[in-house]
Amino acid sequence: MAFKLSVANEATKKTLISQSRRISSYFQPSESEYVSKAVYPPILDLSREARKERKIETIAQNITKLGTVEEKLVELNAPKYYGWWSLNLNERAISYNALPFTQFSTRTCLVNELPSIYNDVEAIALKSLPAVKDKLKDLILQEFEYVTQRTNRRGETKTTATEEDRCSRNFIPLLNRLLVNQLSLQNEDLKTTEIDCNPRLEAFWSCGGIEPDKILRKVREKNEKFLKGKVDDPIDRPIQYYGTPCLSMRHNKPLPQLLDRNSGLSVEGTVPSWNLDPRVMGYKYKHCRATNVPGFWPGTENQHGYMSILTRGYLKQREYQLTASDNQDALHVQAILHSFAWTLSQACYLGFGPYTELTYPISTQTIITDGQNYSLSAYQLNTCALYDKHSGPANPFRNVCYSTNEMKLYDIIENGEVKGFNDDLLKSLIKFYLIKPVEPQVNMRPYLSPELYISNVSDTERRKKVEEGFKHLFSNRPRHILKEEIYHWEKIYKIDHDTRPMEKKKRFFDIGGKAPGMKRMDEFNPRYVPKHMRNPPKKSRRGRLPVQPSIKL
Amino acid sequence: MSTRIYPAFKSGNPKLRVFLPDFWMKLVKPSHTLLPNQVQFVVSSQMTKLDVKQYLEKIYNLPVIHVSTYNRMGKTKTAPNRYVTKEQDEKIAFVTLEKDQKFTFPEIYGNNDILKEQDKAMKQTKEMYAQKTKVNISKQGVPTWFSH
Repeated sequence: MAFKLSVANEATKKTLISQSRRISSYFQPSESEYVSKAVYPPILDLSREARKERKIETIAQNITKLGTVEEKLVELNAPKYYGWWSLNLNERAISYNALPFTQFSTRTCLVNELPSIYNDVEAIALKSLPAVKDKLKDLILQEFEYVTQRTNRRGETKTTATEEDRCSRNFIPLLNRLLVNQLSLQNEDLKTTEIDCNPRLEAFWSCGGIEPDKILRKVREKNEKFLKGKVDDPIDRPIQYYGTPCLSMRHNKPLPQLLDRNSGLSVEGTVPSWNLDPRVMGYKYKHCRATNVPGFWPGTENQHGYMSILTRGYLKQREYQLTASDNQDALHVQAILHSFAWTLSQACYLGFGPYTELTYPISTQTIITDGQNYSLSAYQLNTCALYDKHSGPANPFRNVCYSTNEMKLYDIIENGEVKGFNDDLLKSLIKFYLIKPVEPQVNMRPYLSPELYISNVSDTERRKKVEEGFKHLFSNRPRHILKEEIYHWEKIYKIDHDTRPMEKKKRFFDIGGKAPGMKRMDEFNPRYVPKHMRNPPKKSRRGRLPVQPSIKL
Repeated sequence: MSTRIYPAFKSGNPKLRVFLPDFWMKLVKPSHTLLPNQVQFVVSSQMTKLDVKQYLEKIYNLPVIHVSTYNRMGKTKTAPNRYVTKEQDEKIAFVTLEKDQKFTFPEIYGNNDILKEQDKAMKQTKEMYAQKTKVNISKQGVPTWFSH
């Protein structure tokens, strides 16, 4: 029905019409708006599993998208203010029969020999063997026969393990110096390697495919409506590794790859299956930060690992705490964990990480020794993203660890002589120092912006904020306000039995708040700034005019 | 090895002379999935890890590698008069044997059909009782035969 204007004056009628037309517009469908074939958004699977998987993938993508190394590392910590409730693995605390779990959690297949890459330097190694042998014999005599080692330092508890470690820590740098001096003519790259003594090595990753614990199972059983029949679905477990190798060497060029990433053992190697909670092995969970530190800070020039040498004093402790019967397995575990952690943390500095898959392999070499016994291993990291389904058959890659059994360099020292010297072992030791780093053929940092590190970012505010946050997080200091806990009496008299109904409800479990462990990193009260120092200063309400409308009429 | 008080010896009544040691171990069904070479026990709370190890090694000749223990708090209950009571605490021990050892908790009752039937019958009676009491919900405490 048309609307009739009942206006007497014709002029006012005209102006009114013109005004109403001013605010109306003629609908004109443009030609370009239509396409010949309709394109619809993808049909998504709305089941719980699919939604969950998509959620994890978006988290992984968000981390991958970030431009600098520090931002990626901080983002890993973002969901947890007090750190992840993660499995703590230590270089020197290895459980009994830990090999299957270690192989599963690092997705590593184990080969009990050294790779074929070392055959290429066989001739040079044989040539330089006699010269090295004499000097090494002298060194062994000096360290283990002539000099009385000062085994413990002030404040250090003296155990058999620390005693042996102290001896090894004196010997290993000397051994390294000898081999570098002798072999730097054959391998020029040794001259430019950088050496760290007792560096800090930490690595964090998330491992999927582990069965839920009792508490989670109980929660799922309660939520019967949505989780019927899915009570035992596997979950991810964050894992944090701490270690200190005795010595590590790094170079500005990466090591050559030990084997092809897309064929052979890298794809077909066997990894033992495992789904139990790792606590059955005697390992512990703890709230800790997700830290990836390969022994140096982001932006260092030489950031490709060449070799690391570890001590094995903990085996002495293990002998009476557990057993000496599986020491060989423990050495394999130590080699796998160290190599995985070191290569993973290096990968994090190259823009990859526990949620970003590698695009090329990273390799490293490891020696475990106490001066007399040696186990040599070479490791190639093919995959580092092991979250969710990537720890299972969905991931085509496996990491490969070539590790020898322990071998004796000499049998005994008698009357100032080293007896039963093992030439073969020394030869393989020399070969480790003769492998030459190669110039990379691929883009080493495909997931980083051209700035690479936060220190190169020109935006002052962002740079300052991220840098401060990163340094604070990676110092591993506890938060200023510690995590709230439920005291035992509260569990009994307030939660389990409501015996204090009249008490004021203040605690987080009284008021139905979030559990403190679930607090996100951005959920905190901002720092208190006195009123007079605020920018802009907070004005007193007294004498203030009523709010003026911003629209001008 | 015992702190218990025995009845005084009387000749002709040897039945009462039972040896009740302080150290005892009870093999229990594992509370969560363990490795095949692991066993769970409830032990007397005075026993230490070393005691558990010695007990199994010396008496049963088992190859024990590692023992870990923890004290589990007894369950708390609200008594009818609204005060909280607690059951005894107990010490739980997880024993790791050598790799090649395997232990599965035995089925004590086996596949006994009679027991299953008994369970079924008990369940039914419980359900029936629940239904009956539901009818009388407005007059609780009054016997079901009371019609007024």
